[in-house]
Amino acid sequence: MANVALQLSDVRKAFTGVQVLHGINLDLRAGEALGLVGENGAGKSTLMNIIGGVIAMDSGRMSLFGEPYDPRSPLSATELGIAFVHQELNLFANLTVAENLFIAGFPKTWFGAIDRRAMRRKASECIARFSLPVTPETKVESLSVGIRQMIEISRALMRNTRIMIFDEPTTSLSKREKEKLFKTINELKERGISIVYISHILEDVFRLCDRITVLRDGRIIATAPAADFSESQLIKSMVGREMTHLYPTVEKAIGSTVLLEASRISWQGIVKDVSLKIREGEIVGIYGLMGAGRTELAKVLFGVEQLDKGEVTMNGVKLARLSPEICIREQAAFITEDRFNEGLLSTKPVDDNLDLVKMADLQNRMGVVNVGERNRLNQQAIRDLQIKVSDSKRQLVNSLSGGNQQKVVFGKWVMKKPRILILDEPTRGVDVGAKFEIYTIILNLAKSGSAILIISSEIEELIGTCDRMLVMKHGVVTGDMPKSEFDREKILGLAL
Amino acid sequence: MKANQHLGNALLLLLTKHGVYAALLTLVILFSLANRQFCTSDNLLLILQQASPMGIAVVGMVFVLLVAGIDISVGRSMFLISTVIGFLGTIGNDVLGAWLNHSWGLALILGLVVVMGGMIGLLNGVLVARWHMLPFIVTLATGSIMRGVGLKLSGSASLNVPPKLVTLANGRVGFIPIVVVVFVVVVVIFDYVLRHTQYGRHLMAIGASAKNANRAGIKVNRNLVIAYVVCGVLGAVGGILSAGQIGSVAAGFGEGNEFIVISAAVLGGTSLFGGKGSIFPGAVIGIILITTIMNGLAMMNASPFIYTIAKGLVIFFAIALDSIRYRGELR
Repeated sequence: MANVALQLSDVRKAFTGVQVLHGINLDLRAGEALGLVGENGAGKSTLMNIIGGVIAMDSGRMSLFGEPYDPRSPLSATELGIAFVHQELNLFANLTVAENLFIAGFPKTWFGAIDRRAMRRKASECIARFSLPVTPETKVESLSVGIRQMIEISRALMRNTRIMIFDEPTTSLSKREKEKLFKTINELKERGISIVYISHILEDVFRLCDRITVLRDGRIIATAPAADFSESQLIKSMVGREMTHLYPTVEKAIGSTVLLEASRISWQGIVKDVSLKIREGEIVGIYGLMGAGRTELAKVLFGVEQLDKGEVTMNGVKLARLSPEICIREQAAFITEDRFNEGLLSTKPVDDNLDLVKMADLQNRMGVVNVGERNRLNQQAIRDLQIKVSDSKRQLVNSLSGGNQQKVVFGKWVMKKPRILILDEPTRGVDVGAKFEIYTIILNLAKSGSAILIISSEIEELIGTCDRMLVMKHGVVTGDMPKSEFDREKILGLAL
Repeated sequence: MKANQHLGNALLLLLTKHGVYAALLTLVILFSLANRQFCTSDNLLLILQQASPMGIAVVGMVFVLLVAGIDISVGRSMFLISTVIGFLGTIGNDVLGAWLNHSWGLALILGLVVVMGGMIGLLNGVLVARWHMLPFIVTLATGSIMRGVGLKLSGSASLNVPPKLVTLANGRVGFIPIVVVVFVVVVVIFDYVLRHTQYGRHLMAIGASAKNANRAGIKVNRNLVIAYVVCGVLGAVGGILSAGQIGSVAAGFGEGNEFIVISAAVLGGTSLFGGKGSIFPGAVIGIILITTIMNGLAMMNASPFIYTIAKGLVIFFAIALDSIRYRGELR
């Protein structure tokens, strides 16, 4: 076929005896956007790591614009024109925009010093092309994630990139930043650059991609023009079963006791005069755009940040002082949006993560932990939450897929049977199948009488799981509605 | 009560950013009030002269701290290298002694010092970069070995350093001490390297994230090793000048200097967490502050024990400042 940018034939890879990729055949055409979808653990990351030269394939062939391609390192992949834009960005926060753009090779003067003037000029051109609101001298640490991402894309373009791989690029972007990214991706396509776009947000994949490839259990299930797929078909081929419901239905009743009550709390001008009440068995959602103060509200409620004004009542007790420790004593739990840095000991085995919170209750009077009980509870959690792990005593958390990592975070707190549960973006970076399982866990907790607060930027998710929803904008609650009044348009209107 | 928090945060930030200048100014005023001799041009020049040898070592330390490393062997390498020079001078061998006191003996001495310092830095750097050993432990070990070798060599006796060196370290051009000139030259060169060369910018990048630096195609290991070599060489030069100022190398020479050097760098805004710091004004102001404290205490005839306490307090405040600054700006 003409104009094939990257061709993979029969690429195989196994890790310690487990076959992760079973003979992948894939064509990426020049100037097209190819969506790559699949559940966590389907082998997307492995495949991309092989293309990016991070790991070597066991067998198979790759060719890049007709030439045999076998990258030995990430650097050689970069030099051959393949660039990655990851969730976590590859920029140096302590350097300026211009320095980041030229980090791999600065323009130099005749005696080897950096030619600041040339660097500034070239950086300005680059910035102008994307009309970024920065100067070459701006330090990256002062920029938002969206702008950082644009800088990373610009940097890739400066290196004569022919293929760009986006791995979940929108997870920390605001709506406007996302639109801008999509516009940029379309421009890249017009310039003949091939795009591989990996995302769990199928809506985006449909909007952006010409063709979609579905990967499941290390095999390519289907590759077809995007127009030939319907969303339900796509989900079906990803999950391998019919997903009639995206959200589970669990019969539960809302009690009358208020477990969590906040009245008129404010923090640093970011959270302003917010009040809320959550009853036994109730799930309350908070929707808002980036920067609306949602995450900050959660942090204040859990005592991570000290509130400036207002008071918080848990289980009917007015708390004079808030700290995570006090909240945990009140049987509250907080699952953060940043599971990598805040929620998990990523270089420890699954078991050591699961029992982290429960440990204190498992020790006897002498401080010795009841190992039998600990193992039983861990195994039970792995079973209940369907965490996919082969050896929970040895396998490290960071070797699990995103969805399973999130389940470990849940497991850690669920074992403690929290009365109050605060969740910040509980399904970020999690695939459809695992999302369903996480919603089930949440609903079952509510059924058993917990009060749950979910913060999310996905309206659908909140509509699907919550009993009541608050909308936040600029730190203020602009709307409070029961399930019967949920309306997409109205919610968005209140948030914008 | 929480309304003040905003103001409090702003004040804290201001203090951590510019507190060193405020502290220096306060100390100068206090010491001037306590002793009329303090704020004389003679004494202020003396402070600069006293600060210069350690200041040269601080410049090297900044390089290592920038890549989130540390070199606590620097005081002991100062001891070993100065002992070797003193030993060569007093070995009783007329030929060698004559060489060292010959007109180009000084160049020979400095050459030897640079080579020895570079080799020590190379050893530390390779152990840290290639063998992935913790810099703290590596330099603790190499430092201990160097101290042992030095003591064996001198038999823990006090050795005189070659007279040429004493002249250099205490001499003046016009009214300006030669060591101050050397310090200024070192600062200018290495500040330029840090700010205006690819190597300097790569050090900053490695300090921010070694993983990302590697992915961006930066030769992380090589740059790390060079940073340790720079630290070793400048530490050695600072050490020999310090020995020259005293005129001899006693058994306790150099002990604790590593902490003066590290605290000076950190007081000057260089972070122990890597990726942040400067030579000018940072390292310069840091060492001047510490030397001012020592000089002022001496002018007030403070007990020697007070010095140790003062050094401890300085280290404590430097590190506390660093932690606050780190939370305040990088997160």
